Amino acid sequence: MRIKLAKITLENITHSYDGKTNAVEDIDMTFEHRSRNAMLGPSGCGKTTLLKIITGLLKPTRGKIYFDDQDVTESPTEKRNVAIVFQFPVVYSMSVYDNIMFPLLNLKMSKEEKRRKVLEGAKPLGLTHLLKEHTSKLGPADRQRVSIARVLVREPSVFLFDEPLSSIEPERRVALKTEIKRIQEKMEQTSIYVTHDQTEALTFAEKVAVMDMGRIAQFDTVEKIYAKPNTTFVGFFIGSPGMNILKGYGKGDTIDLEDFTIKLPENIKLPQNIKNVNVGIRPEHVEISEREKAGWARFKVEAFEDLGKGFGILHVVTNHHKIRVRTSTFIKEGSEAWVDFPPDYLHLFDQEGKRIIT
Amino acid sequence: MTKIEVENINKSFLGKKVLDDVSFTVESGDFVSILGAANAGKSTLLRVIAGTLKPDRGKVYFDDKDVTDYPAQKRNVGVIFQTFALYPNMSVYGNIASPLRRKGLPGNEVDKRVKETASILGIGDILEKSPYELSGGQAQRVATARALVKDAAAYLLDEPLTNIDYKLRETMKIELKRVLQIKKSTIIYATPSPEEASVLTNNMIFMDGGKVIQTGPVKECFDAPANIAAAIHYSAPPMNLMDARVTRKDGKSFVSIADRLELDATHMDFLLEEDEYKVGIYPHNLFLSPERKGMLSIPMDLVLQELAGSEMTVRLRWNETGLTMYVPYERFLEKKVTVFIDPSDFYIFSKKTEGLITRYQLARER
Repeated sequence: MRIKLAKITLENITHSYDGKTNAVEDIDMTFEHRSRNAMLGPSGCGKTTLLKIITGLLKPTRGKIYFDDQDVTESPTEKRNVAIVFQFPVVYSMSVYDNIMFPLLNLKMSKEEKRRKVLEGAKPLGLTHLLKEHTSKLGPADRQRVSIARVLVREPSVFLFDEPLSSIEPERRVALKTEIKRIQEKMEQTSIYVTHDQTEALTFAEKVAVMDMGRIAQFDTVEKIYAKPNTTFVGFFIGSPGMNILKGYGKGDTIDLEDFTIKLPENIKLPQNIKNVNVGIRPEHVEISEREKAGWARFKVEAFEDLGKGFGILHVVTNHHKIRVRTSTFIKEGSEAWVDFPPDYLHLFDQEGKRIIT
Repeated sequence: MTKIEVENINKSFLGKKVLDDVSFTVESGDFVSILGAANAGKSTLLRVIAGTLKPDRGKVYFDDKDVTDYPAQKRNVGVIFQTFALYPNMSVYGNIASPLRRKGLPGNEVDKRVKETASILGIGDILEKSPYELSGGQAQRVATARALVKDAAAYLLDEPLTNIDYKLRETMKIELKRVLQIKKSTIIYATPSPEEASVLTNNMIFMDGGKVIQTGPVKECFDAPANIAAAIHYSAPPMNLMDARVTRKDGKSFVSIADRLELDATHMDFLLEEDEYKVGIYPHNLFLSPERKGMLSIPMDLVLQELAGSEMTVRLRWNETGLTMYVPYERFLEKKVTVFIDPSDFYIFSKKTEGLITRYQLARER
């Protein structure tokens, strides 16, 4: 039996729980065939609502959802053949073997083949030696393994992971991460990994949808999400720490930031109609020096966060700005520091925080 | 400002020892962290200092005065807990004002102090809100403001940032440091995070299994972890530990690490006898390029690359040993990775006692 794979299209999806505010709004996106995706955002951004809509647990107020070209908006969950791995592992009170066998029980398949499938599902998760154990004896990490193995044998069309690591013991997360990554790389199904943790999103997905207040702020490759954020929110949300945003005024080929000005790179021209801009620069791209340098802006060091790893975060301020710089240059609190924004690493956003030029 | 001293504190719950002969002194006005895992005894110790829990044995001194038998309200310490409850029937303002009102301060004085404290914590604009309307970070700030609004002899903070989402933690850390510095009080800050200890405080106390293992300036502790437990907790991700063995051959000594690497240890043989050891290296001391002269280059297999935008954690396999590398930038790696290590970043621990023996020293050239 060939697995039926699906690409998932969300068309104009809006959902409101109370009829007043929208939990998700105007979602238009496609998760391609065989792609690995993540939905990332802070709590309350709407990612769980969207996940419920994809699984069929929730019917959107407006909009359509397609699996391939088939409209499944009205189809119940069981018709969609989606597999979900939840935050809290779902296991039945029986042996590991029986748990993994469970979805196969009613399938027309020889006993031998069922057995083979259970073993196949158990193996990548390192459950082979635990098959006889009762699930009540397992800790959260192993229970999550069982629940993943069980959806693996089902051969669903789509894989959804809903914060699968958040309830796992920290010391066992790495092993489970490695297994999930390996399984993902082998499987042919489209997967969507929902999380509030940027590391998990960037680790497990090729494309990440960053959500902000019910909308998709950006749905892009891992590289682009970091290198070319569409909005100031995405710039801030990705990165550790997030992007610095400075309010300024465009004046020809320079931007006036009140305490100092920066010159735009030659290939970048601000559109005529845009005066108020937000300048973005990542903490790791800011250049900093203890000594005065021509053309660099003078800041004062407010604090230094020594991360204990040979580098840290310098917090530097002027009258109007406060920025963070990731550096191994330790400058004493209270002293002056000279700062430069290399043009290649500047990001320009408009007043509302939308990226101006790419 | 108060000097706080605890002396031979012992406490058991249901026959299980939670604090085991804990002694240390926090100087007046010092800002100290207690670093340790979830069950190290940090919270119990804070409760003993605050006076909400009586030790089975031992003494607590505030400015050399024995306060062991003083109830909490007589000790005048401000406490901020990891899980905090705000009064649901009061506004943010009412919550922050409550300790002052209980003390019977006049209304205008209360008003002044509440507004001052709220503005330091950046919550001046939500004073009229009810606790229900707050985000997690706002609620934590309100709880912090409530603890800081009164002048206390000392402040005890029990993992105030643990339950806050990581994006907010980024900014709250430094904000908290600023607020506490303004207070100029004695502060004890319990945390499981080496990063918070490093960022916030100068001195630290490391606890493990109810015992004090190491005390001193944070940087010095991190540079010389007293034992394996300390080494594991002084960095996130934790220090890599590998099996090692010292052997003597023809008047020379060698330390062999992970069955893969053999380093000359003849110049250190007064420290290392023929035996089994654990050799450790911090994840941030594994490099993707030769950062310094004389680094070893070691081929390893990539297991998993965890990306975080501006940094990454790389899980590697070296022969049979799993290693973690922390890299402060991002780069896509192939399945084979060449890792650079400065041998003087190796820590050598006794396998039996788990105590630190020495860092690997480079032989002096003669």
